[in-house]
Formats: sequence, C-alpha cells, structure tokens
Amino acid sequence: LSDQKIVFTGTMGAGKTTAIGAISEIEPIVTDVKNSDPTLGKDKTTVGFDYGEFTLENADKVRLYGTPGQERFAFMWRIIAKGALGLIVLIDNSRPNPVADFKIYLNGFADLIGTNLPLVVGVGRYETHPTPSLDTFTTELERFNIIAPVVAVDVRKRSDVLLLVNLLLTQLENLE
Amino acid sequence: MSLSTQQRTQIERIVGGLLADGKGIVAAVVATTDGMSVASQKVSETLDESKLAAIASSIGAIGAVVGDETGLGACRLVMVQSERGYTVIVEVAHEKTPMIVSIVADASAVLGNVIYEAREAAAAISQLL
Repeated sequence: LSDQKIVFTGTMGAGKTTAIGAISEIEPIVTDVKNSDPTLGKDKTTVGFDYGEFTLENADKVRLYGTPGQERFAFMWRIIAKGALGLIVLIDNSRPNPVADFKIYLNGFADLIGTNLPLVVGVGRYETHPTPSLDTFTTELERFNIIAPVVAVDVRKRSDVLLLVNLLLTQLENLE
Repeated sequence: MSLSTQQRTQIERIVGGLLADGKGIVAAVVATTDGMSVASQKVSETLDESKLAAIASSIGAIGAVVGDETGLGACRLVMVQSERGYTVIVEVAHEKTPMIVSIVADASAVLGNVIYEAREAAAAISQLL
C-alpha cells in the first residue's frame, strides 16, 4: 500500500481541521466558511473537506481527509469515505451528549465500518470533561460489534494526532 | 444568523421571481454559505431543498479552493451540467452574512440566461443584506 487514505470525522468543533493541520506536511487544503449556527460557538466550519499529507517512516504517503461534522453534510461523508483505509472519529466530550454524537458517525459510516475498516476513536476535552468515560464509548462500539481503541486526545498536539494515526496503522498491519 | 423578517420576505420574493421569470428554472434555493436554507421554491416535489442547500455549500467551498489552488482568484460561479439540465451556484458576497444562490433548470432553459438570473439574484440579495 503505497498511497493510503485516512479519514477524520466526528463532531463539529471536535478538531478535525486542527488535527490534520497538526501533522500535515503540506499547507492543508481547507474549505471552511462562516458558521451561522449560534449553538456551535465557532466562527468557521468545514463544509467541503480538509486535505493534508503525511509521510510514514517507510516513505509511504498518507493522504489525510477531514469531513464536515454536521449531519446535513452526510452526502459529503460518503464521497470522502470512498477508498478510505481507516477512519478516525473525533468526539468533543464537553458537548451535551457525546455518546449520541458518536452514534451519528457510527451510523453514518456504517457501510464502511461493516467492511472491517479500521477505526480509532479520539475523545477530546476529556481532562476537563471526564464524563462520559472512555469505557462508555467502548461499550457503545461493542453494541455495533466493533472492536476499536478509544483514547483521550488533544488534537492541537502533534503527538496526540500521531498516536491516533499509529493506532489506525497498527490495525491495518494486523489485517494484512 | 440575524436576518430580519423584512429581509427574509425580500429574499423570498427574489426566489419567487426566479421561478416566475426564468424560463426552465425549476428550483431556486438561497442558503447560508454553511448550508442552511433561508428561502426556496421548487416545481418538482422530489427535490429536497435542505439537501440542495448543504450540497451547494460544499460545492461552493470546493470551487473557492479550486480558485485558490490554481491562482485564478475567487470562485464566481459553479455550474453542473447534468443529463437533463443545469445547476448553477453563485455566491452572494457579503462580509457578515455570506450566502449562496442555487438554481436548478431543466433542458428547456438557456444556460446563459440561468447564469444571468443567478447573478442578478445574488446582486439583489447582497444589496438588501
């Protein structure tokens, strides 16, 4: 696999654009526009896709794609997910119902996840918002018959984003 | 988003005018650039205006990226020619409340006219914002 595609999805404001920016070796392509939803507390929001690139130790290039968060862009999820080798779901634990948020993406990407696509869950703002616990997300995954790592992350930190990518790549290697 | 009732009424009137005056125009949607429908009218029952608003938002944003990456400047218009008609997407330039106008036209429409109508509508909306 010389050219791998990893997709970042998850809640609006969870940091998909930030995560890609944290590890991309090129200036990321972003399609953010002014956010008009006052309940989100964000100036800008991704409506198309984010794109970045990252080179592995073995010189393989990984293409990083980010989806829009809001469910009205679910058509974009399907376009972006085509050919993906792995999915990273980012959750913002400071939101009112992070588990309900999580289910939106498990359902939205069900077709893909059903094909044993490797998945990693990154829970953000966990230090300040430790409820629901990481185990709660694992339990939710089990309901969907998925085994995948769930980790607390700060996607502004390059090392945390690399952890997510490495967890994903480890699963890929185990599949091969 | 902060649109007054009067502004909404005016935008709805512009949208209505598009379907009334533009030959072959079967749907028109005005939405925020992040894909929330503000006003819409359609002839076809099957068309989902909320979906079109979100799709236009994505396509418009991708159009903007194309302009950036090619060094050709801001995206003026995106046009999709399908088997049985056209969809034209034009941005309403406005700093505080940027919007997008999407027009769907069937094969009886003249593309140049649809583009003209879309631009006129966008200009009229940017005037009243």
